[in-house]
Amino acid sequence: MSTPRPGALTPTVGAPLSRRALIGGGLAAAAVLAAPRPAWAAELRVALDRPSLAVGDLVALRVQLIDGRPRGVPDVPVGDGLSARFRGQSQETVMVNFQTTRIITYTYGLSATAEGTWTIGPIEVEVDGRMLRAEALTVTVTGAPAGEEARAAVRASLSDASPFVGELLHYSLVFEHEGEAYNPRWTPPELRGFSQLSGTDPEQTEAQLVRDGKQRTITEIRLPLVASAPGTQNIDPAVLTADMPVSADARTGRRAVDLFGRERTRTETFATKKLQATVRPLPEPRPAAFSGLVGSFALEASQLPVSVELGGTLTWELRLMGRGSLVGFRLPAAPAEGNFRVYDDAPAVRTRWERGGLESEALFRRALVPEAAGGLTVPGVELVVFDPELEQYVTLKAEGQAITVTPGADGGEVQRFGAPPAAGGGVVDALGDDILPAPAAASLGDRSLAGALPLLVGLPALPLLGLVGVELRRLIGRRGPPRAVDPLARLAALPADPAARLAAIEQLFREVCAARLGVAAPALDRAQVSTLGPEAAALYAALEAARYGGAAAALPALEADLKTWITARKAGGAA
Amino acid sequence: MSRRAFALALLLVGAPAAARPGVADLGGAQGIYEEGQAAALAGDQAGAAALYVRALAFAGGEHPALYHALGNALYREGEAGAALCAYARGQRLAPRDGDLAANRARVAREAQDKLDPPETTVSALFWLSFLSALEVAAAASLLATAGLGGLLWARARARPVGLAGPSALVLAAMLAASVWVAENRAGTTVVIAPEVTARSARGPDGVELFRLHAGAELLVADAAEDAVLLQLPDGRKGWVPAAATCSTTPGAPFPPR
Repeated sequence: MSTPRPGALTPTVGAPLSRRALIGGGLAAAAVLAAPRPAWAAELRVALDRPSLAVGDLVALRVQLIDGRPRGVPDVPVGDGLSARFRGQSQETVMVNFQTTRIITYTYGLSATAEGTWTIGPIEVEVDGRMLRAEALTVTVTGAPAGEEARAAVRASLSDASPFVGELLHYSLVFEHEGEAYNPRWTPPELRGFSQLSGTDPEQTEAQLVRDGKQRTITEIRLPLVASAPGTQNIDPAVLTADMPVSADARTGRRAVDLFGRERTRTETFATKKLQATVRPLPEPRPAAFSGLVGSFALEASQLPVSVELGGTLTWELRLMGRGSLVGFRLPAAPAEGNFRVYDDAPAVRTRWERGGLESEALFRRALVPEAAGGLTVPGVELVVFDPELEQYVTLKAEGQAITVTPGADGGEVQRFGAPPAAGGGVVDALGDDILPAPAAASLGDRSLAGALPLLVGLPALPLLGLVGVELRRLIGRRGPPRAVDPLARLAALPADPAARLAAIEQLFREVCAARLGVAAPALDRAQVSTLGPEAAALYAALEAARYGGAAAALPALEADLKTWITARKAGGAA
Repeated sequence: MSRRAFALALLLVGAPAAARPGVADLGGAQGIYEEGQAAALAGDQAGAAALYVRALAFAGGEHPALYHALGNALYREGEAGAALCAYARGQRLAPRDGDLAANRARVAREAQDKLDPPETTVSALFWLSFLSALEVAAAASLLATAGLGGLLWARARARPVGLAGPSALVLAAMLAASVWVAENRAGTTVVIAPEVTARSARGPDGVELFRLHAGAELLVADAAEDAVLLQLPDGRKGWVPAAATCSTTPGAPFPPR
């Protein structure tokens, strides 16, 4: 049989395929299947669940890219009465007639927000340098079903439609409905040009009022934001979905209930209108000392004591509060000059909802350590902030305070690190500030956990090994045969009672004989014992006689004979 | 325990420590470190940083002094992000080193992104804030040795075991568990590129989410070969190229110079 060349696609119909041919064929087939289709074969499709919508409807819009990979998510332009929000993407590969097709599906949530005829698209996507285009779709949006608009509605607003960059504001979503609304859930819009304030949760309030004789519930969700990018910012509609009770029967006036008597509900979607905000840049020129804070703030400082002992510490508390974000703000460093040292604590910042808006408060603690006795003026603090209400830069001041530093009971001594006091006893003036140097003569050694692991594990292993040894020894000792006791020693420690004494002598004799003969002691008989010699046979007979003829009198002679025999046997064995 | 058994146990313990790879290179790390110091003194900070990074590869390189010197050289070279990373690694090895802490705080203050430092320790394991993993492991090892030694003595002398030995073993187990937590906790990483954009997915297809600058230290939520998923203090996450970051875990490869 001829061997096919490696990788050659030679069909061998009716004959078993060689292994090499199988591998080669498989690789070639895989190469054909995995080969990307050329870019010109890519295709873009758009599909909508329904061609006509009612205000408040939310449907899925699918953009499918076949055999292509775009750069980023395709942008879907929609008319003013619609809102499209990207929800996610999926990918599938389909194989038909050994031809693979890769389909990437981008799904958008399309909300109808206003009546009219609106267009979706055209959508354009660049794939491998070539522009693919899907033609525009037309969608007709009709008014909300009769009565629905009056029963429930959502509206959105910004607390300030023209904030300055850095200004704190909030996005508000109001859901007003008549009767019950179950399980309301909302999807915040994409807030381009704004960032959510970190560390502060959205606030939700609920109120009830009676309008036209009907009780209505108003739920408001407020999301704290910081304006971050200047320019005109468009905010897409927010979408709220809730399970609303089905309207009562118009003819009978009865509530619609299910088989179990529960109120029947229908999932409804409500969308707000689009919002537009103009984020204004901060006015130029900015003051050189501008702190970066934007808001209406006030600065308060605690009163320092009039005097302090040298070596003591003063804590100066400064409280900055107002409408604005204080996240990440630190006090400007205190001036380096002066006979004192300054240490700033990490500030405690909190932002909370107050009087319908957000109030921030930061508490700064500045520790002051005087370094010389005499008069000391603690320098004040000046903060330049931009006040968006006044639309100008404002300087907040905490006035400096004068205190007296007394020498103290023991003369007062402040421990200094760094340079020692100069020869004259004065303090060296600081010229600058820098990072602290590395140790000049460090002796390197492995400080990593992995490096020390053998020693760390090995150290407790020592007593553990010992413990295991002790336990093993004990275990082996318990299981092993009992240690043989010297027969002469046993003979010397016989019980006093004659019967017991005779039994012990007989047992000892039997054990010694059994050990000699290699048999079990209870199985010994006269014939076996007599093989050990006439002395052993005589002892056997004497023991039997003593057992049946009275032990007390014969015992001393028996003991003496047995001792003699054992001693002789031992001597014979040793020899 | 007989002398022979003790000698055998000592051999068993000592053998793996002596056979640890790289111990012979300890002099290499020391020598390169000293070369680096000489280069730094001569004003060649880039050369010094390269030497320090080289020394890290040798046994004994995982040393706070080396990370301190590396951070200083990088800081003087204007690489604040990489310097912060070196200081952070040094602090993991020597949490009570005030100079390292001061340098790290100073460089963090100068970073463009004002982010709260990520919280990586579990408050219940408070000792991890002032003890390094090695120190805690050493304490656990000594306690385990003492506990097992007590048990051995009691068993060998047929004395009652008492509470001290088992208590020491429980404490040792707790400390060892805390070391495991410390070593396996979510690490932080420092942005070393001047500016990097975090995206919603790896690669250029992801939507741009936010921008980070050198010196920003963040929690690592996930990591792949070429990218890391960083988490901001407010919970937002984004992928950035791994080459733009430096892990603060000692032992991880330091970005090459």
